[in-house]
Order: sequence, then C-alpha cells, then structure tokens
Amino acid sequence: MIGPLDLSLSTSVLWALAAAVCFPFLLAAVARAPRFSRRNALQFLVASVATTVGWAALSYATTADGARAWDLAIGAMLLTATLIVYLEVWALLSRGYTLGILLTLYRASGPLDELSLAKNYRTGEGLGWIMKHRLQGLERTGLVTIDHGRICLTAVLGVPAAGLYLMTRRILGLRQSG
Amino acid sequence: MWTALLFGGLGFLLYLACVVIMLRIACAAGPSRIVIGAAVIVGIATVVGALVVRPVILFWPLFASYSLLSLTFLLVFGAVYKSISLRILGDLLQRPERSDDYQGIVARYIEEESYRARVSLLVSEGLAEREGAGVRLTPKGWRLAKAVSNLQRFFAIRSSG
Repeated sequence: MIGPLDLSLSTSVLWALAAAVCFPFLLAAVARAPRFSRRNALQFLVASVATTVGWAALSYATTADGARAWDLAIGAMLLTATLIVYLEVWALLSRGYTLGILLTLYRASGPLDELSLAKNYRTGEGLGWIMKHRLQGLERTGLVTIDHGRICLTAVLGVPAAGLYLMTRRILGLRQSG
Repeated sequence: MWTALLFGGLGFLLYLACVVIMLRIACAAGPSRIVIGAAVIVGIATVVGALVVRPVILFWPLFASYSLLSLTFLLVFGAVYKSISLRILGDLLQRPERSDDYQGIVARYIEEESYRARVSLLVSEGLAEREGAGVRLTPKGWRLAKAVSNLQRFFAIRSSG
C-alpha cells in the first residue's frame, strides 16, 4: 500500500509481469528456429501462445486452492496489454516502411538520391517489393482480387473493411494516412 | 475490484474524447505524439482521480483495464494512420467500379505519396538531411538506425518493410 493506493500483487498478476519480461527472449528463440524462418507473424503467434499457456499453467500450479477467476482475469488483461506493446514494436521492426528507408540509408556508404534509395530499399529488393507484398496480403485475406493488372475490392470483405477504415479516419479527424 | 475496473473504463472513455478533440485542434503536434502523450497523461489523471473519489483503490485492476483498452485503441489507430494496405482499400472504394490499375497504384502510393512523405518525415524529425540531390543520415538518425539494426539482429529479423 502507498497511501490509499493498494499495490498488492496476486500470484497471477505476478506471473503476468514475469511473462512480460520473458516474452522478448522467447520470441528471439522462436525466431531462430529454422521451421519459422522468415515468417514473422507466425513467430509472434507461436511465442504469444506459448507465453500465455505458460502463464496460465504457472498461475494455477502456484496458487493454493487454485487461482481466483478475478485474479486470472486481471493477469490475463495485463499480459494481453503487454503483448499488444510487443506486437506494435515487432510490427514496426519487421514491417516498418519508414524504418526500412532509415536502414537503407544506414547501410549505404554515402548519401543516396531518391531513385537509388528506392532501388536499394530492403537490401536491394526495391520499393516495388513493398507493393507486391501488401497486395499479396490483401488478396490472400480476400479483401481484393487481382485480375489482368487490375485490383478490385471484393464485395463481401473488401467493401465493408474499406468503409470501416474511412469511417474511423473521419471520426478520428485524420486528414492524411498511409 | 469493480470500482477499479470501472475507473479504468471511465479513464479510457476520457482518453478517447481527449484524442478525438485534440486530433482536430492540435494539428502541429502530430497525431502519433497526441495519442501516445494523451494515453500517459489521462492514465495518470485517472489514477489520481480515483484516489480523490475513493478512500482505497486497487491499482492493478485499474491499470490493467485502462492499459488494455488504450493499447487496443493505439493498435487500431496505428493501423488506420500508417497502414498502406488500408489506405489502398479506402482509395479503391472511392474509385469507379471500386477498382484500379496495378501500375497506377504503385506509382501513386509507393513512388510518390507514401515514399516521399516518409523521406520528408525523416528529414523533418532530424534523422536525415538533404545533401545536394541525395539524402543522408544525421548522427541522430545513425544512432536510431544502429539501435534498430541491433534489435533486428536480436530478433533474427532479416529486413523490414
């Protein structure tokens, strides 16, 4: 207790904090497994599931008479919040477009003009790669179809998703995005 | 327990209201700074407010509920604000027949708007500087790039983008 602030930790909250500290090391280990090589999203998913299962098992095993539902819920909320922070950082490191440009400049021996910068982006794959990668993702998730060089929104998923995106942007008052 | 969770939820609603208002009036600060700064300030204000109203407050339930809600919002905000994929979807919706030419999209988003906007952002943030026709990293940009490169090595990430 610090004055009226009750800081007492339940076992499941304590394990959630410990899991949050251990998660980056587990993720780094999973990322090195040849089976998950170059599959960043899968690496994160596997590490997240393993951490959550480990946290739940330890919370049950180390609490006398079993963990209380409330404590488990608070621990789960804390762990999920931490995983969201890691997900943001992970997405930035593995998919960040601006960071990709920054790293291209870092690896270059001298100043790059805009054309060379675009050509050397992502260790030589070029800016066209990002477009191909993003459009493949949209097509795989059923949001667009690509036919003879034309990209078309699908009626079932693409149109509602695009509408929701525009509505959210309007609510937030964002003038520029992407 | 319920009281702490309720304060966490109310704090999040206050945060949402602050963000929506500030994004409209404080354009110069930059949307990312506004949403992250407001999350921290409103979070602290929520704990202080709860302590004023209640004699004892459970910190962890309040912190867990507020942080989970606000971080989920930040996740959605990040996607809406920076995702190229969502931007393409939104623009396709506003085009005739909801479709567009592949090369047109590449030229518009990658080679022009998104790419140039990001290079300008690096320059305006003091991470890069223009030298003649080229762009090079400043010492600040070099330090950040080195840190990012080390983090990528730690997580065995081969390249970003």
